[in-house]
Amino acid sequence: MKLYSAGDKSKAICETCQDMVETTFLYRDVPFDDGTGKVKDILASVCDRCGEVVAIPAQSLPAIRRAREKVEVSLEAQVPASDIEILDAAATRISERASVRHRKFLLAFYVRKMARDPQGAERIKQLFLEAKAAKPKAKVKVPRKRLSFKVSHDFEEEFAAFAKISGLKKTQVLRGVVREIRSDLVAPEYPASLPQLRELVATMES
Amino acid sequence: MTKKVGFKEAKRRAIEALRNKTYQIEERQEIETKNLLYGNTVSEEDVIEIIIKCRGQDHEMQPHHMVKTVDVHILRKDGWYIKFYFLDPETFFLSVHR
Ligand SMILES: [Zn+2]
Repeated sequence: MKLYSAGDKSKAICETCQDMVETTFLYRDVPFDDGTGKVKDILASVCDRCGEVVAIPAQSLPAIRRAREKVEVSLEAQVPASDIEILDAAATRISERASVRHRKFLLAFYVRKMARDPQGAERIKQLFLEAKAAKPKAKVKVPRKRLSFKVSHDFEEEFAAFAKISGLKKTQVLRGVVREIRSDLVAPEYPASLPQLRELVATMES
Repeated sequence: MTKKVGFKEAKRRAIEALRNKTYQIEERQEIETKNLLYGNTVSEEDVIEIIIKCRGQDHEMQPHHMVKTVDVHILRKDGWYIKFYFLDPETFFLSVHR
């Protein structure tokens, strides 16, 4: 890959000048357009005529992605206590030091997996209906508990988009995902996904 | 000034720029967060996969809205919307949206 250095020349189309312009690569603080802050000191292509940032070279993208990741939002839902028990059971399967972090990891892993599956939207609807229909054997009241995570902006967007195409509320998607985790990771004696998940967690924690 | 680039050549050059990470993204002073190349959920590889799948009927060409002599290539495939152009020797992406 070709890396630009500060001072290198290029060209670009400038919105302010409404023209094709000569540019120079310079370090600049560039804000996000959604008001969530800015990325400090990244190499950007700057218009020689008006001094505005007109393009971002690929080499600055990892810094932007890291900055983006730090912008966190909270994802909250009220779910039956049994859902939390399922998540905790799944977490102890993937790590000996299971913690809240692992709950989030599991939810993120399964949400992304399903969101990328062309049949994912249909499947999550089915799973949610199953979760809703699952009643305790005796007439006992299962308390509701709050599930709360800090997630990256990008994950929140992917999650919201998945909920939208599935026609479900976010809490309903979470309940469907927990249902999937139950059948994929908690119920089987030797879950097929377990080696891959343990590997991912071990890498993450190393 | 910018020579005509057809669909096949445009596709090849866009893939090459993504693979070698030699592309740039056109900006208007701010980082356009809707552009998926800036996020953590879509990689260059994902975009390459979509571009590879594009056929002639998924491709359209329009003059750049500010500089009419520049052809903007537009690809629409499986809900993706990808726009790019060339200012030799550079490849600029305008949008990668879904
Ligand atoms: Zn300018």
